[in-house]
Amino acid sequence: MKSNPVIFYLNNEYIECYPETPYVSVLDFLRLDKELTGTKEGCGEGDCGACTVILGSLKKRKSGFELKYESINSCIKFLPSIHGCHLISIENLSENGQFLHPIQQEVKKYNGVQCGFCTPGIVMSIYNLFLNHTSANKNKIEQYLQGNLCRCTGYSPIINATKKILKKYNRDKDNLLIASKKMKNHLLEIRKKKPFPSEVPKNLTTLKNTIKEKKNFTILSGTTDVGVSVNRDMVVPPNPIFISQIDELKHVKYRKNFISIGSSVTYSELGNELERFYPDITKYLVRIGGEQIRNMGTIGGNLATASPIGDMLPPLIALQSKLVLTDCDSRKRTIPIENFFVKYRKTTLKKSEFISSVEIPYPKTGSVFSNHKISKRRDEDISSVCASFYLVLKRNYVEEIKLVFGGMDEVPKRAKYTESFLKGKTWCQEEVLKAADNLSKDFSPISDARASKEYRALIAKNLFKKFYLEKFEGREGLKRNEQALR
Amino acid sequence: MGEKLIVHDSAEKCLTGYAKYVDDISLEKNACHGYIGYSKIAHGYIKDIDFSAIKVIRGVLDIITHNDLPAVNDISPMNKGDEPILVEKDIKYWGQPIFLIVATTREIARRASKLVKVKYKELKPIVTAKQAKSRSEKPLLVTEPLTLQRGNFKKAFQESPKKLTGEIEIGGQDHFYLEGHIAVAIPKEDGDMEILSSTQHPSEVQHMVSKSLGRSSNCITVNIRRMGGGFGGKETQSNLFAVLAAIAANRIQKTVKIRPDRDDDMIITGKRHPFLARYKVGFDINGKIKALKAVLSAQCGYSADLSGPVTDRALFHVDNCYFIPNIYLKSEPLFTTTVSNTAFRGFGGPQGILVGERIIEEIAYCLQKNPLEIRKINLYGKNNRNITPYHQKIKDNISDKIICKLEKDAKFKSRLQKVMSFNKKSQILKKGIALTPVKFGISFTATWYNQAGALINIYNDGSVSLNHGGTEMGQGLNTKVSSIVSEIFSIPFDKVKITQTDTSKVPNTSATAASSGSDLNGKAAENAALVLRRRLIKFTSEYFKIAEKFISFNQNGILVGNKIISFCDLVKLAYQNRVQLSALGFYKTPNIHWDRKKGKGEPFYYFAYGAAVSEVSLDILTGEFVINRTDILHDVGKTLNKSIDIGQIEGGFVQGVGWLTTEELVWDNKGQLKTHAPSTYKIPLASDIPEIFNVSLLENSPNLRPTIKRSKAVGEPPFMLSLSVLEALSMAVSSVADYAVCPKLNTPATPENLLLTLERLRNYNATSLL
Repeated sequence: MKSNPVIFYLNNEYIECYPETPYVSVLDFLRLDKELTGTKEGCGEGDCGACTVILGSLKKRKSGFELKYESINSCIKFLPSIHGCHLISIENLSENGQFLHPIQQEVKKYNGVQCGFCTPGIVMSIYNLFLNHTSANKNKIEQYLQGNLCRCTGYSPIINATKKILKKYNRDKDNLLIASKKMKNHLLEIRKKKPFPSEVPKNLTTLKNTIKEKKNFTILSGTTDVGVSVNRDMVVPPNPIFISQIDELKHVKYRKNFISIGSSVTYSELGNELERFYPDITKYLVRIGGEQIRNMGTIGGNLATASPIGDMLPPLIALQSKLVLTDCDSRKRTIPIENFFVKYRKTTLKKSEFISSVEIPYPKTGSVFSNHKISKRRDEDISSVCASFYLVLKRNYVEEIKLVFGGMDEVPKRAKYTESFLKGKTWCQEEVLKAADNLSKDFSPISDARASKEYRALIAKNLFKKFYLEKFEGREGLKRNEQALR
Repeated sequence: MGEKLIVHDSAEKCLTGYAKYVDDISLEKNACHGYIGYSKIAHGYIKDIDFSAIKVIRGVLDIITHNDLPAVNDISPMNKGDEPILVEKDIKYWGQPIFLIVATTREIARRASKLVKVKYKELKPIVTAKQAKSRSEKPLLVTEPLTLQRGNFKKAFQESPKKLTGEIEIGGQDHFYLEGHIAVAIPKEDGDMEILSSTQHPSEVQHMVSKSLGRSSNCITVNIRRMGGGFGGKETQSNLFAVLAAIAANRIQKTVKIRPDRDDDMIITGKRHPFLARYKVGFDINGKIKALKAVLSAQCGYSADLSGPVTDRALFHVDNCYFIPNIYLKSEPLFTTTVSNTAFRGFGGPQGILVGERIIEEIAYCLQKNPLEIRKINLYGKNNRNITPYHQKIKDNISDKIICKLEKDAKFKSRLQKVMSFNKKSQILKKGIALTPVKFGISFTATWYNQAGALINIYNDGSVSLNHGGTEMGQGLNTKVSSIVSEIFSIPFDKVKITQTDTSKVPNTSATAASSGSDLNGKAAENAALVLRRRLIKFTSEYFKIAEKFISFNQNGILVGNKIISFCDLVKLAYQNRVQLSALGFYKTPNIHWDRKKGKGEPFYYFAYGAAVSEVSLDILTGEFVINRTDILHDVGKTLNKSIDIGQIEGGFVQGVGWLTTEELVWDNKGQLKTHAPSTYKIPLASDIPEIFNVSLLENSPNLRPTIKRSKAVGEPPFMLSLSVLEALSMAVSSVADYAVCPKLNTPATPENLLLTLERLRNYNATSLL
């Protein structure tokens, strides 16, 4: 039986296609089916950005639907998951090579091209910044280029060109945005009038029914993790269900005691919401992947893959968040996140269940929240160790403390021994230094390609010291773009 | 015309996505795909291979093992017979190719390659240089070592008032060209073969394919329009893919493409050599070096590949900018059961210079002086103290001039003071600042490679087509060479058609490597263009009956007396009068010679110089750091294209920073490389470059040699400017022990390495709270 077609717009073209398998990547579709070879494969793992494209998708807002254009890695994005979206490839920017887009003109002028293989991806990442911001400082520019590797230029000309682009050009004159109203209507029409492909449920009800029908299935959202195993190891999870179209899983609601966050909320969206209550999280979130990954990866995905170094897990555990799990018969259960992880990449999620939302409590008065990530390279790297500290002080006594570490055990874990050591104690340097030494009783980390066990143990200790020295003694630690002496 | 900024010729095409790389070229519908299956052990032998699981897969067309090879099973670039195309029995690294699956799609070939079952007998792997050396007194070497000797080390060392012994471990580096390896073989009539290969060395690919098919070279054509990066990784490493594609295409008589996945590319192909160096140095109380002995041991991998010339070049660069009166240097190209390491920007030079600069740093710490002071008193002299360890006299030394100018321009002295006082106050954050120079020898040390050819055709409509033996990998070679040609004809840059490198147009070319691309091919193209211009002038003179001195080429055309004729019209006229409008150019570098056995000669035509100052901030609780500022002053002679040269300097520097800091190759104890994708192998990002980055070219400094327009090679020399970052980090680390001891950082200086070194040094200063 033939499934319904995957329907979307590619540049200015309406596409209806029947991918051979649900795991045909957007990149292969562009390069092999459409012979649009401007988009390149550099790594096939979402880590180099040569395959960057822009994806326009409908986001449900209070005021109705918004068509939002964001960058993604096309190598780990699968065709069914872009049903109802607008895909923009590099060929569209120059109107098939006829005119250079202002971004292309400036990058050329600044000599930002050497071998040119990363260039289309870099242009798309700059385009992503251009479409979403009218100004940007150097930090912001670097953030938008985090997901793109260039081995030739040393980046300077690319950064300088980007500065110029934002200064000189107005995004409102960009053809894509001018036509976006029309495109939004086209996409809404697909959504309303066209049947969805069978592996792409339209809403929660269809998702539940699909789960009921299929015994062995795999729920996929951002595919930033599974995309890697499909491409690199050629491991194909059975019966994928792409949930990225389900609006009910993309909500952010401010309840009385907690913020409810739908499991399909991406890192990018999460940052905007959490920042209001937990400002410290922002600088931590921008160290997860690059823009492309943050636009794809979801909080539910990060939880379900249950990696010991899943970057969102320590903050969520430290904040004592809860998980809402729903099954195909609409039964719900709510559990503390830290009870969700059983062992290495194993959770308590049952066969018939899916993660529907995360409930994050509001900050308590007098609380301090701090997040840290250590990796070989600062940006777009996987943590050697990540840590989140949540502290509530009452008259300088430790009333509540949560010390959570990733990369120190097979699951992200609290340092319970050290926590209990500190509880009720005076919060001072002496006790903190003593407590830091106690961390060795909580963890016995292992060595791998990212870090040795000695380093992990030392870093865990030092991060806790650093937390104290920076937040309570006002000592200066390393900042992004640390200034040179004059 | 020379004033106008000329941008990389492919820039627009790359920016719009219309530049074609090998994988973008559309092939016939029935083109097939090959995928390599490789060893999953590092050392041992094959007991059995079971292909039964894949024989039934639809779409699998052919399985090729060593038994199916039509001719010689060797692609050693040095003709040593030590590099099988496909393993026969003995396995020498994790990732060594064993078989090729050919199928109708890449997906099927790849999937099938994973289903083949290979049974092994495993032997103990030898991974690092240290392991190789600890195995036996006389460890196995992959090629002949080199010794360089001048003066009397033994005596001078004994008489030295101060002595030091030391050791440094230097990490390797993956090229991480953004475009991975790829080759397409298209069978032609009479058994001929056309190859599209992402290679820096089309001629070698041609010769390897001809050898492995057992056919003569004139049956094989190799071409390449552009690579998505090379950096040395496509000098010899492309051979394997091209050869296998050709063998497969020859068997099934269909086009075959081979493109490994990124992980497989990184696992199968060679990298920069990791080194272990041990040294003894004698010096006086001012830090002037009297005697030096160093043994540079390299982890070469299982075969020679280019390890001989790489380790030679490492020795050639231990002296860097410094005169060492009594010296003994020895290379030790060690056999290890890892992938065979290969060329990489700098070609051993960076490792050699790092050893030399580490020695300077150690002397400085020993005497409690700033390393810059030690550098200055050891610099090569102008008229004396100017003989290198290989007995070449340095005639173009400008290191002194560069260092002094940069020191002043970057305000090194005052900033050093500020760094010291900053460190006194700051608890978590420590800074470091360092100035390091570079001197890099230009020429292939294998003298015969220093030759190039070019072909220029002028068509009778006045259009010009240029072909030369160099390859374009992003460095802007074609842009430079075309602008040389267009200037000779006084026609606009874009009137010269740049064509793909093609072995049927210019034969027997050398690899585009050793920074030599524009030196050699620029000269060859210039020679061809000058031949044509002379012919045109001679013809004009005869035709218009006017003396040659009244004929000149300028922007508006050809000035003949007081009349202007356009280039097109003149060409048309010349054609009608039967003037040959096609010319070959040839160039060989003069004056160079090298006697490897004696360790004496003049291997380098000239030297390129440069220096950098870097300031860093290090978090001593985590080992994380940022580069606050880098100032570079670099010598490119008289520049051929300023923006392209600056691009090479910035890009080379940043690539060097990656090598020295975040790029770490990790092998497990079974000899398997664990860092084979961008998820685990971290090259620099936009946010890793210096916050302030000033790059200047040394002005009024034409090459003393008559190179092309008095320029200097620029591909490799700037790579080593990154050493300034390593030494600045070293200073920041040593601040926790009041600069009393040299931290002796091994590389790469990852946050982990820095933090563990900090721990080691903190013991010197037990009072520190942190």
